[in-house]
Amino acid sequence: MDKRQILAALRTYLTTEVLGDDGEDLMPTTPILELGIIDSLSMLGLLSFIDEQLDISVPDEDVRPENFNSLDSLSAFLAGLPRTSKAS
Amino acid sequence: MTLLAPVLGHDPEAIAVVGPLETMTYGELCARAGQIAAALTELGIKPGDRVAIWAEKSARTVAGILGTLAAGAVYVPIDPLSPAARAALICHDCKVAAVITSAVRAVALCEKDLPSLGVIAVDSAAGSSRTITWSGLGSFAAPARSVAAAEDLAYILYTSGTTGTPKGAAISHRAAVAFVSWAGATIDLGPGDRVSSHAPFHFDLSTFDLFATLRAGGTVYLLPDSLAYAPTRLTGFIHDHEISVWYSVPSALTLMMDRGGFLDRPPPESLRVVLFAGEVFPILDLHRLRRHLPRARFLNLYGPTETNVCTYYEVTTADDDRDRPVPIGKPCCGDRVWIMDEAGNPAPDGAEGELYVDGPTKMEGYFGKEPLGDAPYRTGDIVRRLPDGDLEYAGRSDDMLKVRGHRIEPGEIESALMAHPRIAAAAVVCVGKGREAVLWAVVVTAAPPPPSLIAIKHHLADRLPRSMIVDNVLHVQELPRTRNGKVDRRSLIDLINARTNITTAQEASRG
Repeated sequence: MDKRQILAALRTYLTTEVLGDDGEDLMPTTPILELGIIDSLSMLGLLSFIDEQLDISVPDEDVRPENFNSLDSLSAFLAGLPRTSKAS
Repeated sequence: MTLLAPVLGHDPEAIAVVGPLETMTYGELCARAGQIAAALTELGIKPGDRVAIWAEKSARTVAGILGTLAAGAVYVPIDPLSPAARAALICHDCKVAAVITSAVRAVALCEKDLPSLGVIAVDSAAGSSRTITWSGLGSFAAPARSVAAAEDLAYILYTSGTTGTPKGAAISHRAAVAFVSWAGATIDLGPGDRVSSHAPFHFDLSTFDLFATLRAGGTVYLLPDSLAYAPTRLTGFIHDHEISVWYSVPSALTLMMDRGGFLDRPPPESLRVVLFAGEVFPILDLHRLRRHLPRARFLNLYGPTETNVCTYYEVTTADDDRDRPVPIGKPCCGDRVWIMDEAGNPAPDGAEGELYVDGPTKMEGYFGKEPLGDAPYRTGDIVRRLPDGDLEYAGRSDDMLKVRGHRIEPGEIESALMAHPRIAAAAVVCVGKGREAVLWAVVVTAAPPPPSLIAIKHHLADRLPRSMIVDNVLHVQELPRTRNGKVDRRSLIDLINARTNITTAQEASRG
């Protein structure tokens, strides 16, 4: 999965699961932490999605604002992590 | 007596602050504070001036706070995740003269009609010409001193207000010291203690973490801002650092139990005191936590930002069978409280009424507004006195909401929403309870197209604290009203519940 595919998957997740139908103007640079789209609760759901659907395991110590502040930075960060072996 | 004075007298070799990036001894922390005070003076800061603190939690930020106090100035903490527009709003409101922040933030702030702001950068990149970088602090050498008088302001905390403009609760050294010295004595805080700093610095719980600990010679362990998103690391933090005193909103403790594996690990032997405040602790969650930590003391601290902590209740084994939330207890810190009815007369024994507070911890007033003087502070909280004298919290006298420990004034969010050019009318309601609470904006569009949720979030983020940014928006033709013309919040909540149930049902049938 490259960065572009990851970004698309994350965007779909956030628009369907977090923002509902109101997320069509969610941009790669939208500051998702600053706007409270991701907070301490929705972060847990997002991390499960990344782990289970994208097969990427994010180390706890990398759950930091600079990696999660936009879809752009998050997908770039995730693209640099190894896929977990359970991927088919 | 000032907040700073006792901090300066401890063993310089003892560890004062453990941050995510660096650790400082008392010697290093006080030396840095002295340099920062000298640098602020060089930037033209005089005693009584306001200095904004707009930075992530770190040992450097703590040095910045102490340095501000050592300059005799007043610190104004701002959410590091707030956009520059919101930070600028606060800086303009209390006429901030300098800011301690990162270089990137400094540039963004100076562009918001604050060109002459002095800057101390906690990183080493230079922002504007009036910036002193962290490495540049080395050229300043002056020991930190406590120059303020007890009645001088120590800090200003921006809190929720109904008017749509920011409201800064201005707290004197005397008021802050009244609380932190009471707290330190009550839990016997001393040099061996390792105290967590969970609350962000712009939240009033942080004054205990920083000042009660540093005045007592203990060590402050700063939880990085990111730990709020990783409950297993919160649990690990307590174990790894052998935290002895923990203070947070109850929802953080519940999150650790439910999602952080706290109850699956052996109880941390070091943890001797758990303090909680800011919201009602669901009693079953409190029981679970106490069963896991049978040797720890549990104290419920109560008080709005404007009065700091003014009552407290210590949970004991007598509460083991309790099936309703613990009381907020009896007055402390030398404060006095009254329960008043709607007409402003003392409420009859055992009857509900509004809590009024007066005493040493009370704020001076909102910055730039009329001082409170001798008038008691009206909390807006409804309480009743139980037969044993403890106060029990019973709700609010107004529409104010509490979401995960944060004060939410629907009226303030509504005012901000109405400032949007395409919104004609708006109401804000909270649906769900506790950690599941969701803040909804119900809006009537003035001119199509209706603004999107993200556009609304941007609009609010520039104006309000992050906790007051709505989670969802519902567009309606008009707001339902009660017979006397007020917005019918009950029917709005029913409407939202009905809509979300339909969506859930549709998704279930699709799946």
